[in-house]
Amino acid sequence: MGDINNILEFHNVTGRNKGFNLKDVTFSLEPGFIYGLMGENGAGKTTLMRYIMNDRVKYDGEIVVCGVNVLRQHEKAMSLIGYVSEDHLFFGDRTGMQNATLLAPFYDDFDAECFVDYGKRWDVSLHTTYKKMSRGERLKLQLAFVAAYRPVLYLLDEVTAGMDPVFRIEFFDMLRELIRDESCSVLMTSHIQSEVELKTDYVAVMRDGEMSDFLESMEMGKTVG
Amino acid sequence: MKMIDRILRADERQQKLLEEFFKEFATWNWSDLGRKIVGGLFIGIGIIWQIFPWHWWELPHDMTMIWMAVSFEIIGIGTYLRGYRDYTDYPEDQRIRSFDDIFAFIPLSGWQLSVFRLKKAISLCFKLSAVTLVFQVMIAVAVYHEITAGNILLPAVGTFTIPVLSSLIEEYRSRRRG
Repeated sequence: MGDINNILEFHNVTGRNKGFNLKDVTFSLEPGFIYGLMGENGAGKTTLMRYIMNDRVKYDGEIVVCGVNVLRQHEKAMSLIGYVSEDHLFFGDRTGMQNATLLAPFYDDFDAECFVDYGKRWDVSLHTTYKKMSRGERLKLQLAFVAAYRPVLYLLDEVTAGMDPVFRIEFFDMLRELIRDESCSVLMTSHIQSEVELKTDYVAVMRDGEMSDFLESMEMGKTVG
Repeated sequence: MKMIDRILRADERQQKLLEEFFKEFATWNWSDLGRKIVGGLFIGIGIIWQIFPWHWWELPHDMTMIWMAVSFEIIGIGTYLRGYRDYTDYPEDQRIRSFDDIFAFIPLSGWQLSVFRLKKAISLCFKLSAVTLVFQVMIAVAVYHEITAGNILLPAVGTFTIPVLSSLIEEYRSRRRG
């Protein structure tokens, strides 16, 4: 059982699956910060996200979200995590509102008014079918949906890749707004070093399934160069 | 079904959520009705053919007709039981997509999803078996004035046990894939 003051904890996590695995990953995230995870393609960033989200991945060690073991209490862990990614599918033929109507009942704390409110503030049309939305609109819709059930951990997997600079600033403003009350944190993966150093509070580097310690972003900038 | 719930350790809340989800998601279409009609026709023809003019197990020399009759019934069962797919896949953009891709990210137990689908498969197979059993018995009584073990066994094995086992295997493989 982890420390419930930490949002996310990895305790000596080593994968036991065919193919690529994480290797002895250990870290913890505190509330109120944006954490960046850098690395080249294939370094293991998305694999790390998969270990948190997927209850069929096999590994030694323990992954805990706010004191909840993600394997033993998978449903409860999923209600504490907001996952945003291009891989996170919604029903393409349904609108944002229809998708929310279908999926919201699975979350005890989903606030429909909050979802609509975020949609308005972030200029997301909730009555456009998902497949007709641009990439940016889809990501904003996903973020509005997950924000509506107030997760303690936002996992963002390569969401800023291909974003235009204006939207990138807007997106990080949205993230800062979400963590302002310091009850949650963001863990985002990216292979864009400059963005991670400037926009996040702490950064770690992933390489070949192994992870460095999290350092303050400015300090990481000096180390990595 | 309550006994099945107990055996399979069904969580009432999650089962209810899934029931409501699929009710909300379901969109009726003509292919749904067509599937049931075509499936029913094939099953009906297959059953009649197996029983009349010969009982299939009192075989005369010509097996071909019997195997054709059995094939008809199998095609019919397979077509009808495609309804099970309503709980595993959905059509989008002229492709078939899996619900699992979306359920992977929500607070839903993979086990409860499998339980839900298995219950649907058992329910579908049970209804089909009941209908084929009644059909078989009616024809056997009308034509031969007797009911034999085969009239009971064929529906029990062919339209219940084998399709349910097939669903079990499919769910097991789906959970292992991850």
